[in-house]
Amino acid sequence: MVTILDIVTLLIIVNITLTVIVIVSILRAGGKEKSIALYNEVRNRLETSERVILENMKILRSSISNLIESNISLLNTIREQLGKFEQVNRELNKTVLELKSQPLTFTPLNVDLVKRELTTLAEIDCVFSDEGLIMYGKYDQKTIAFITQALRVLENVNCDEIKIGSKDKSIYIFRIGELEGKKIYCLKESNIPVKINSKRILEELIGEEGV
Amino acid sequence: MRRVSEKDFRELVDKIMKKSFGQIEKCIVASEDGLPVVTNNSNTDSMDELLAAIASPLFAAIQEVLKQYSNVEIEKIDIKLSNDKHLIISSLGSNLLVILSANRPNLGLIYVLIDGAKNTKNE
Repeated sequence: MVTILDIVTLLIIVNITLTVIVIVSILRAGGKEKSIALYNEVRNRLETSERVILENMKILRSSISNLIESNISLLNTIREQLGKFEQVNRELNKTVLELKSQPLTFTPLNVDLVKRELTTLAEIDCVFSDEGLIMYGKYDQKTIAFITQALRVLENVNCDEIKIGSKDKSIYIFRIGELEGKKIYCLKESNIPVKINSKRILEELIGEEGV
Repeated sequence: MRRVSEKDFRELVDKIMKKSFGQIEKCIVASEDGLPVVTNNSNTDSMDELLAAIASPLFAAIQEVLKQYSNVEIEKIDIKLSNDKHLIISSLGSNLLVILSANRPNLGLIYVLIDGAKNTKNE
């Protein structure tokens, strides 16, 4: 690998060689005065060339130094990034190992999310009509009257299911159909979500009512 | 038990009307002899007089017939009219509470209000 020192040495050798060649040429040319003047001129030119070469060498050396410094900086950055990457990799491996070491566990579904289906009249607290009268079961008549009034207000919204929540339990009201032009609702108090099989309940109700 | 004044009946009728959410068109306290004592209107009209006049003998007649068969008293009579309104007559001490409902009323609510009125009157 050629170093800067080698290049400088080569340039000096070239310089000396050129000087010797010029001196020999002058001596051969004859004419002493002419020779001296020519010698001085050549010498001046050589000195100028030497300065130019040396300055260029300085610039070249500075450029090479800068290049080396920037490469070193780049290498340091790469080394730093590699270090970080290795750290991440170590953490990842650690996590994978921890996961592998843990036994598989199955969490049961929250019972609150599962709706209990009501299919018989016996499971329902009461059935009432849009007249606010209880048709089946027992419940506070005043509550039914006000629920009916609320349902009448909500009639235009056409909702089939209403939940009235309280601290410890909820009241679920479902519209199960119509009988003799009256809308029929059923009510169930429950602390877990419920859904209703309207068709079966209504069929059973018709059987009970003898409609 | 203190004697109920006309002012008490006025308050009672106003309370019923206020809590009925439009389910009651007419609310009348009628005397035993079929005269309106208090109505929800500020001025008693002919319809109020007619309803009071119908309610009193009707209630008395049915009560009399039932007494012959069993010793029961009528709490209220609910008559469904062809226009989907209901005429409900209920005893209120020695007087009668006569209610003409709106179309397709929330009967449950009206019954609750009638029961509430009877309890208030008995206090």
